[in-house]
Amino acid sequence: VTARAWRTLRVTWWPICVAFALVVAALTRDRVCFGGYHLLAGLDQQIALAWGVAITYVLGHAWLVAVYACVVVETGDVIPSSRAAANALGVASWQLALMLLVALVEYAPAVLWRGLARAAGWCGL
Amino acid sequence: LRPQAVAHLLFVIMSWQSFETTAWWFRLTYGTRPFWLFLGLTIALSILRAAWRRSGVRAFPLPTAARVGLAGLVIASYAAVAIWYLRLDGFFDHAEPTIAAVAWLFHIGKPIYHAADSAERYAHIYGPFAFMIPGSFLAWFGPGLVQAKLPGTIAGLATVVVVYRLARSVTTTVNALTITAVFAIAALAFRNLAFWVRPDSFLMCCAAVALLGATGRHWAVSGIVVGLACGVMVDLKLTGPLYALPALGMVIATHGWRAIVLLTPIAIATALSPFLLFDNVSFANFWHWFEVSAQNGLWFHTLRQNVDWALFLLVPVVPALIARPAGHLDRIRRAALVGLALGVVAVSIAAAKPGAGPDHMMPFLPAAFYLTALSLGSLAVSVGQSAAIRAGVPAFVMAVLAIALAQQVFFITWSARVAGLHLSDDLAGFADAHPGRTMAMGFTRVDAHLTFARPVLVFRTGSYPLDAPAIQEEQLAGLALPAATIRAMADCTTEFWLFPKVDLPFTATSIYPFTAGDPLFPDEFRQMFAAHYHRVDDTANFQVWQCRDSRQAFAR
Repeated sequence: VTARAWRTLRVTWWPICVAFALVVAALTRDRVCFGGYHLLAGLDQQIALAWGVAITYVLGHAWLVAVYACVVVETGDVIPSSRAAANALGVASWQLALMLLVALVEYAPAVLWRGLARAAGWCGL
Repeated sequence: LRPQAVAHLLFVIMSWQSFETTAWWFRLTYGTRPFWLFLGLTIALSILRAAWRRSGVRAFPLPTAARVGLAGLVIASYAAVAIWYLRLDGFFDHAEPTIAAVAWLFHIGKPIYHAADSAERYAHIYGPFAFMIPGSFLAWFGPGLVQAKLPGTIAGLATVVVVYRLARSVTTTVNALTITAVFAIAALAFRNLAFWVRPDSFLMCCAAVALLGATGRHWAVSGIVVGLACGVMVDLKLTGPLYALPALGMVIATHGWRAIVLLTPIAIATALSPFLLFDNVSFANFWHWFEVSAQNGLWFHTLRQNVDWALFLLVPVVPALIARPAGHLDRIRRAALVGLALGVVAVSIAAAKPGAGPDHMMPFLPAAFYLTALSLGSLAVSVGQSAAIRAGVPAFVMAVLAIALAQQVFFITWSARVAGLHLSDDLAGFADAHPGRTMAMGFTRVDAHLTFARPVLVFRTGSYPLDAPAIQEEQLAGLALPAATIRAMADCTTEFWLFPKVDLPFTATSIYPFTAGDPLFPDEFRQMFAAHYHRVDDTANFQVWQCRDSRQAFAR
């Protein structure tokens, strides 16, 4: 079962990571430039697009959770050591690293990105 | 620790008032990010634990009697809050009075879902059982706010009993009690939806009953119980069956597809029964209002919170990933895990609809804690003793306890304050003084909570012309008030309108994100009201407006 899961995760990484990165970039831009409440204004009322964004966002998280779950199942430990985790990992480490990077962008405090945006002169800050 | 947090902590010591403020602040700041609160606490506890071990002081395990006592205290507190709220005069949540009012309408034979062009505006997208269950209680025990709240309270208390029964079926009494206690705290972190008269309390109860049914030994019993529960859940919310996915997985794992063959027609028949058996439950109208609501888009701010709560909800499930229970329990474990994961993913997206939110995760709690119970006896000792578990478990309990406490401080102080206004007595007094006359509650921009006692008027008059939450939902979908509603004002269909005292009539505005601040009642409607009604009196909490053309003069 786990081997099949790893294969699925490797294959699905391509569409999920690209779409997840785009969605997170758009959400982060809105959080930084326009405040964190009304995100992707306009798009959120176009039903098909809004659902597409939401599904992508949730699938991005689900992919990461699935990787964690597979590692836990393979190592038999809820927080495995880095060596055990690396041995158990069934996706390329760069795939996981890129996905984590996207998640980091999503969960880093907006104040950090706002500071960067201000320094770079983006979105009128 | 941010300076703001330290300041609030100092305020806590100073007075109860600031404790309330702190609870409010904590709810909004950390209560919306429970997963990150959990991670932070886990790291903090790991550091503390390491320092403790370095100091050479030995840890002391909590005695069994103390564990049982603490668990009992927590469960009793949950029951006490639920019963205290039941006895209180009034509602806390904006959907409760709507459900109580429409439940009474159902009982007296009026439609649950009125037509699109009807003068009345109270239809919602909740399924018919959301109104029929409280409607039955009102029919059995007579009209009243307590009677309307009773089914929610029963559902909330019954869920705790069922969760204990579920946990006890796979672990020891002490472990089952402990897990039930943590479940009770987690339920209290979800704004008390566990026992409010809303579909959510019934959904969680049905989800728990479905799990119990799925653990049944006989395939037919499992099929019938899970089928009935699924049918009721569809008719509470259309997303209801998603909460039954863990139970469905367990049924397949235990009894195979023959149980599914049995439960599917039972679920369909149960779901169709209100529409077929009652003339005042129209499927066409229900579907119309559902389609209207389905056009409302998604709110990504809520989506982010949903994902956070989903991750938090899955934390107690992690040990189940590596547990190896014996025999058929292992198949149950795997099936329930898959069902729960699929359900949580789907609800995270569906609950991003404006007006929804992370509270929609609550009905998954029984499945999550059942999986925790299932994994307890079959975890490897090394895992149970690992630093991750030893820091993670208390961190989860502390996070959920902090959020629940913040919720309860806000809930109890606010509810008690509103109850002190004796709103239902005020409305009942006015209704008693004007028997046989038509009257209804109107809506203003401020003090919306004063309108929460409005079912009292519906119980007396059997009429519910306007429901602000329903109008708000329609406005979000771009629907204007129909001509019949405005004409009803000119025709003085309702002789008296009562409004909270401090604001002008029908100035209520939308609180939904896309339409926030927009007036719910258009100028034309308000002008019609102003032309045909005049203010004649005040009660303790309400201003009274009477139709100018009324044949009977106003008398105190």
